[in-house]
Amino acid sequence: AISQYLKLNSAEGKNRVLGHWACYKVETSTADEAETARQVSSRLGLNADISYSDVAGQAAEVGKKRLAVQLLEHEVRADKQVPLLLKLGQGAQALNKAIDSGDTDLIYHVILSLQEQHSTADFHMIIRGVELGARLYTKYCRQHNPVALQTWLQQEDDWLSLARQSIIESYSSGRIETRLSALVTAQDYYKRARSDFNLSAVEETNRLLNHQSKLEEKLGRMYMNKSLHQTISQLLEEGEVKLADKLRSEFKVSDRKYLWLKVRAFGRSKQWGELTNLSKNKKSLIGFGPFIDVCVEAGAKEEAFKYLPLLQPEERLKYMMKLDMMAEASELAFQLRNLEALTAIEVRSVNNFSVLEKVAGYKQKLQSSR
Amino acid sequence: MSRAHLNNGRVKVGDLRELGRQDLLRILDSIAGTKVLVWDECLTGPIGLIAEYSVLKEHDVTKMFPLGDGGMPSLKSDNVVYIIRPTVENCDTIAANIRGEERRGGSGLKTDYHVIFVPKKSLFCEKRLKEAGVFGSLSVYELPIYLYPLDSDLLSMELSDSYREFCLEGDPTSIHHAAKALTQLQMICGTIPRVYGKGSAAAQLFDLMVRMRKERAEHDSMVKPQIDSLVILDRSVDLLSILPTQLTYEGLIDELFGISQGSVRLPAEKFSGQNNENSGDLKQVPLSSTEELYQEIRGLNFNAVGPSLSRKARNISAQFQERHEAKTVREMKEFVEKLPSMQAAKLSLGTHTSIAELVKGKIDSEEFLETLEVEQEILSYVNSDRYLEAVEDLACKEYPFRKLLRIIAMQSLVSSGLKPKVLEMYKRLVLQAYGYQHLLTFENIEKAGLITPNNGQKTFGTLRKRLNLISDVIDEQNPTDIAYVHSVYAPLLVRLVQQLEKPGWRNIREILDILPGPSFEDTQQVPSALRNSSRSNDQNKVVMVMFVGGCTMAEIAALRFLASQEESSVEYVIATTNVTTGTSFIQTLETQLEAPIF
Repeated sequence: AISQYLKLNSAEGKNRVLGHWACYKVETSTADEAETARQVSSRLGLNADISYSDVAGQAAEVGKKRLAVQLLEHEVRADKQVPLLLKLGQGAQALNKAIDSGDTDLIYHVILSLQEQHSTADFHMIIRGVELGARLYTKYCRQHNPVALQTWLQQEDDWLSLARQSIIESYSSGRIETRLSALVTAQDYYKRARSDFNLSAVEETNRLLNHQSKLEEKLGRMYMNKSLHQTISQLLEEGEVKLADKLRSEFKVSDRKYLWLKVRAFGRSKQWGELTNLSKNKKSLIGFGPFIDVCVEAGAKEEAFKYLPLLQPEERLKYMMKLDMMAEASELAFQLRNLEALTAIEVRSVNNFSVLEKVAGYKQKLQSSR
Repeated sequence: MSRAHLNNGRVKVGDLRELGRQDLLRILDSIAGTKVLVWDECLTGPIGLIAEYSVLKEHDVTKMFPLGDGGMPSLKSDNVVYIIRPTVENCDTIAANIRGEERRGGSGLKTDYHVIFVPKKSLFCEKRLKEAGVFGSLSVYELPIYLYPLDSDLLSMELSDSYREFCLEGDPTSIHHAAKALTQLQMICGTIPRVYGKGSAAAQLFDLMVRMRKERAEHDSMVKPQIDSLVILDRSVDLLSILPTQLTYEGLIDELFGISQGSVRLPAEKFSGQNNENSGDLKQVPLSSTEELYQEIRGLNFNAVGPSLSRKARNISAQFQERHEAKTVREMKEFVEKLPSMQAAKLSLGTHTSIAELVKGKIDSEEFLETLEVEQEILSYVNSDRYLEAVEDLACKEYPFRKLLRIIAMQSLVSSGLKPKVLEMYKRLVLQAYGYQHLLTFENIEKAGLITPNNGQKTFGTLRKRLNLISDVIDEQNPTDIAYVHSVYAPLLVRLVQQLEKPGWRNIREILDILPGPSFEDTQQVPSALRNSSRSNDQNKVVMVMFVGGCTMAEIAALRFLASQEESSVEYVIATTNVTTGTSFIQTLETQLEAPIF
C-alpha cells in the first residue's frame, strides 16, 4: 500500500518493501530460527525476484547463522545460494546444491574452496561421497595438479586410473629408462586391477621398446616410436629378414599378416627377387592381387605381369584392366562373357581404335548370342 | 555477407544472432578508445558467424590476434580485449601475457585490459586470475552466446568435445550450457509447449531447463510460441548412425574436406577466375541456403548430384538462349532484368560442378568403394566372418586409423558388442599395426560405448526390423525414404523423430524401451495470454530437434527430407552441440600419446 502511494512500479516496489521487511524481521525476531524462517518465507513466497540470499546474508551479519542457512533453502538461484553456504561453513550442503544446479563452474568453485579449507584427508572424505564431485575433482587434478591427482587416486585405490597416468608418463620422456620404468609401474597397477588384456598389452609395449632400443644400437637407425608392424616392415625393407623373422615370431604375428607385411615391404623397397620368391609355391593367403598392387604402386608395371597367371580369371580381368592391358582384357572379358567389363574397356580406350574395334566385335557376338 | 536468409524459416534464427551481435557490440562500445582483440582460437570461427571483422572495425577494433603463449607483438592501442572461453589454460595464458607486457613496460602508452568470457563468467577463472595477480588490472565482461546459426534451420553450439565430456569424463558442462541455450532461445521464440526426449543426457537437459525456468519465475517469454514441440535426443542412444560414410553431397563434403561454420576450404586452382599465385592456395567457399542451387542439391544422394547439375546446366543454357528470342523492347528489357540472377546461377553452377568433381575424384578410388561395400554388408547383417579378414587387410595396408575404428565400431554396435575373442583380436591387431600408444584411446572408445564386449542381446536386429532401418531398394535419384542418405541405412534417431509424428512415441513404447536411457514426454506452461493464439491450421507444425552429443550432415539432410515430403505437416529446426563426422567424433575420444625423440 505504501509503495503504491509512493507510485513505485508495483512489482518492484512491492518487492523492495517486502525485502526490507524481511531483513528487519530477521534482525529483530526473537522467535527460534525455524519459526522466523517460516514467517519470512510465507510472506515472501516463491517470488524469485526477492533475493532470499540477501535476507540470509542479513541474518548471517547479525550472527544468526542457522537462520541464514534455513532461509537459503528458499533461494532458487544456485549462484547466489552456493557461495553464501560456503561462507557459512556449510561445505557439504554447498557441494550438493552446486551439483543439483548442474553448473560445473560453481561445482569447481566449491571443490577448490573446500580443498583450501580442509585437510587433505577430510577433503577426500567429503569429495568421495559425492560422485560428480569426485569425477570433476579428478578431471581438475588431471589437467592442473598431477601431484594431487596421484595422492587422490592412491587414496581411492583407483588402479585403472593410476595405470593410465603411468602410461601417459611413459610417453612424456625420450629416455628409454624412464619410459620402461613407467611401463613397469603401469603393469603393476593393471595387475592389481586384474585387467588382463591391458596387462599383456603394456607388457608387449615394454618388450617392443626393448627390442627397438637394441636394434637402434645395432643398426644405427631409428625404430622407437614405430609400431610393431612398422618396425618389422622397416627391417624387411632394409634387407634384415632374419631380424624381422625373429620379431615376428616373438610377437606371434600370424602368417597371413606377415605375408602382407613382406609383400608391401618388398614392393616399397623394390626387392623384386624377394617378392617373386614369395609367389614360388603358387599359393598365397592373401591372393596375388596385392603382389600386383605393390608393383604398380612402386611404378614397376613390368614386374606386375608375372603374377597375372596366378590369378583366378575374374580377378585377372580386373587387374588386366588396371594395368591398361585393354586388348588382352577384352579377350578375357569375351571368354568370360562379361558384357559390363567390355563396356568399361570401351570407355577407357577412347583413342585406341584397334581395341575399340575388337571390343565392338566381341560385344556384338555376345549380344547376338543372347 | 548477407545473413538475411537466417530469418527465412518459421523460427527467427536471425533474431537470435542479432541479439548476440548487439551484446558484443555493446560491450565493445562501452570500452572507450582503440581496441586490439585477442581471440581464443575456438571462438574465432563461431563468433565470425555473429559479427564479421568489417563490423568490428567500425567499432574501433584495429587489430586481431590469436591468444597464444608467445605474447603479443608490441602494439599501440588504448585497450586490449581478450575474448575467451572460461578455461583455466586461457586464464593462465592471459596472466602470462599481461605480466609480460607489464615487465616490458608496454609501449609507453597506458593500455587497459579487458576480458570477455563466452558464454559466461566463471568464479573458477576469476579465482585463477586473482591468484596470478592480474585480476585487478582486468575489466570482466560476459557475452552469453550459446547457439551459433549455421543456417536458417540449423543452430550449433560448436562444442566438439561435448560427447567426450559428458560420456567419458562425467562432466555435465555442455548439458548445462545446452539448457541455457534452449532457455535463451525460448525467450526469443516463445516457450515450447511440448517436450519429448530420449536418453539420460536428454533427461538431464530437460531437468535443468525446468530448474532454470523456476529461477526466472514470472519472467517467461511473452513471445507467441514459434515452435510447437522440442525433441531432445542423447547421442549415446544411437552411436551407430555417426559411423557409416555419409553419402549426401553435403555429407561427403564434410567427410572429405571438412565444413566449418558453414564454409569449406578447397584448392583454389579448381575454381576458375581466381588469381592464385601458388597452387596449394585454398579458397573458402561458403555453403548455405542463400545459394538456391546448393539448397536444392545439398541433401541429395551424391549419385543424384551429377544428373541434377546437368539438368541445371541445360536450364541455364536455355535461359541464356532466350536472348536471341527476345524481339520486342519489353522482352529484351525483361531479359536484361533477369540477367544478374542468371549470372549468379551460372556462377553457382560452376562452383558446384567443381566441388562435385573434387568429391568424385576422391570417391572414385577402389579403396573407397571396397570399404563402402564392407560397411553396407555390416549394416545389412551379412556374413560376419568376412569382416575379420577385411579389417585385417585394411590394417596391414595402413588404412587410416580412425576410419578403421569406424568399421570395427559399426560391427560392434550392430551385434550389440563383439565376442570377447574377436574384441581381443581386434585390439591386438590395432595395437600391433598402429602402435601401443593407442591403448588408452581404445579404453576410451570402449567406455564411450562404441566398441564393447557382447552383452548377450540382439538389440539391433529387433530395431532393424521394427523401425525398418535397412532398405535394399532405395532409389537414389528419387528417394522415398531417409535411408537414401547412406544408400541402405536409415539413421535411427531420425527414424525416432519421424515416428513421433506417426504413429507417436506412445505406440512404439517397446522399441523406445529397448534403447538405452529414459524416454519422456512433458509440457511447459505457456503464459495464459498466449495460449489461444496458436498457429492457423494450414500452417505446418514446427518441431525443434536437439541433438546432445553431436549429429551429422546426413542426419540433418534426413530431417530436411522428411519435412520436404508431400504428406509432411512438420517443419524441422535443428539444434546440436556440434555437427560432426564419424572420423571427427572418434578423434574427440582419443588420448593422444607421442613420445619425444630422444
